[in-house]
Amino acid sequence: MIYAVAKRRDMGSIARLFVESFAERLGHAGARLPAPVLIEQALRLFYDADPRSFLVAQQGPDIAGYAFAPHPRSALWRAAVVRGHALRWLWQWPVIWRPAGLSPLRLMITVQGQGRIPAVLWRSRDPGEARLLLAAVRPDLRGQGVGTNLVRHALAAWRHRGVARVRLPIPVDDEGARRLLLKAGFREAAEGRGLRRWSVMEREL
Amino acid sequence: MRLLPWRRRAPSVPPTHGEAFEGFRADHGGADPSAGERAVVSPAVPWQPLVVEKGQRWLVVAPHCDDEILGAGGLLHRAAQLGCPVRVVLLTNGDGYNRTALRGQSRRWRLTPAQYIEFARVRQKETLAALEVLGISRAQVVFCGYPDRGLAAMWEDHWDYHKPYRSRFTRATRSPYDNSRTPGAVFCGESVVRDLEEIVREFRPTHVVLPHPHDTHGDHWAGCCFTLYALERLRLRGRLPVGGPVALQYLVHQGLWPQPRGLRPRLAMVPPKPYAHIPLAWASLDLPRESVDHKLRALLCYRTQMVFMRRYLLSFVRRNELFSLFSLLPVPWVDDGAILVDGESYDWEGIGGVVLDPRSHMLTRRVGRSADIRAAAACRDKHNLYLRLELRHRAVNDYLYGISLHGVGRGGHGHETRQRLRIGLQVPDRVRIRGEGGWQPSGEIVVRAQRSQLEVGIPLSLLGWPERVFMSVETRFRGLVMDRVAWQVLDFVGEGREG
Repeated sequence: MIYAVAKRRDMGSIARLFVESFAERLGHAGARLPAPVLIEQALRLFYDADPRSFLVAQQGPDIAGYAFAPHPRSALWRAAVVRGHALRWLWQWPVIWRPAGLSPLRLMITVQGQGRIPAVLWRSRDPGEARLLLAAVRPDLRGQGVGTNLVRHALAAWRHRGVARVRLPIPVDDEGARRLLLKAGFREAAEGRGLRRWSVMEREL
Repeated sequence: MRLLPWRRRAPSVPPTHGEAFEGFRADHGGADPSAGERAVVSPAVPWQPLVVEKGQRWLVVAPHCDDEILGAGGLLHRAAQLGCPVRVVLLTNGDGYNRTALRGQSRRWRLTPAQYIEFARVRQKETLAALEVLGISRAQVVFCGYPDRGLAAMWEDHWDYHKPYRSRFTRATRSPYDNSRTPGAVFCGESVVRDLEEIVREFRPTHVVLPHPHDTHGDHWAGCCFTLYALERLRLRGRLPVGGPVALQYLVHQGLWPQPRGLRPRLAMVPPKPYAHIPLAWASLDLPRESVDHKLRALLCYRTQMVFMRRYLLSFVRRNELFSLFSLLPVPWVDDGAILVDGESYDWEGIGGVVLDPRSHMLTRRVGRSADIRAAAACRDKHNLYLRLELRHRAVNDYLYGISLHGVGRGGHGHETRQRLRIGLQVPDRVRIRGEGGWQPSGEIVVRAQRSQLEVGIPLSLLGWPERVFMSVETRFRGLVMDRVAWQVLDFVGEGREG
């Protein structure tokens, strides 16, 4: 298993893994994911905004897992406008995104919250605080420490890029994520306002 | 015969290594070469004396006729004096020569293969005469008869018997000399290694003197690689004594070194200046006056070479001979998955560079700064080898960054595994492997570049789970080699290995 920063070419494999990992969970919550090709386009937007936010675990030529850990100051709007993503999104919005009630950014946040949108937005006032971390591993390779390694690398990369603190809202009943984050050195923060169904895991870097 | 201008000499005070080293430091241009400070400064270049003793068995491998005298003439004389068994192996006969050496004997611009072969015989005779001067008989000399200026190609491209190298001088693919060790030896890497293996097994040396991997001449560094490879294969088969023979490497071609040129028998030979920053262990053999005298007389036997590079050849006659001790470079182990291939160095803390490139050519310093490799670091986990290359300037698309790896390991059923891997990298993310049918894309090798750092993750299964890896890195601009890091032997068995 080789851990690396993703290339733009990897977005297709990551989108497939994304759908594979989250479609079922979101189905339980009553939401529906857009087609993989649209997810790939959404991921490309994030890649263009912050190319070093995607980490992949590669086994042979295949992608076995990925982590998405954007820097809190990633230039999302600039990438959307300059790289033409906004135009494409506008074009697709009435037909695809509006019925699903999603936007690319909302899609990522929704996935983190298992179909729900946390009260804490992923962008905080504090530029040194990261709030969004997604990781998924291919089902046949789970339980071998791949996810832990990806999260560890994401934290190290954040630290290297000047992020001081990570606060991640996770649903109260998401035991898998809680275990993974506790293993990675997170601790549960005191509950804030409007966070009844969420618990916040935090860690100083 | 009195050839050397010995006039005054301090009675029986041999030059100490500290002195030689201080000369080196002062020469090197230290900021403040005050005497007091120089006495205190500990040598940055590890420098130890070499002693020839009775009971040692010396094997000297030279790529061309005359290199054995340049690199180890004094040593051979000392060994012969003490009655040590000596074997001199000449890999090529030096048939691809400078035509000045003919001294107008032929008027043709293009010489025929027969003329080249005839010239090689002349050089062989010179070698025998020169070694006779040092007290080494004809029976102790082995000519292998491989093609001049072809060893590098044989090491890199022409390894198998079915794909021999064709000499550009003699136009032969097999040795055309009747006195070669293996008559009609095929010009391929496998054949050279087999010859060297047999010689080592027959002679059982305690010390092997071989060319230096940092030598700029292709025959020299390839000769070094072949010898080390043969020793490695014998070690894997359990044919070498524990510890193996001591390997000493001599430098011949390295820029303008040795300076000053010309006959300076009272000066000490010191390593080239940029090598002060490289952790090489140097050993110096002090030569008594008699040995220096004999070395000079032996060198003068090479008339064909003296014609066009007299001053250069004579500058190797010094009061000592310099060798660097070969050592394996251990590859540090890291936890599984501890390295993120991202071109950043923060996860490489504590992992030093295994290979440093001292050379910075005029070309790469001025024009192609992105082609200049400054250092390479390596580490491994259970499944992968990670390499990090540090360039002088940011990696650019114009250059092909090539990594050559030859893995040697122990396979099942007492066989050894050999896997040769040539990787071509082009930023941003083009990775190709050189296979039988040319370059093919590879998805298993992961490369990321960030500014002047290039990071590579290579699955060890591609190298056949090796114990030792021969590694070299080079940059090419449209086929032209811009910079090359000397071949190194990486040791994969070490701390952290399971079982």
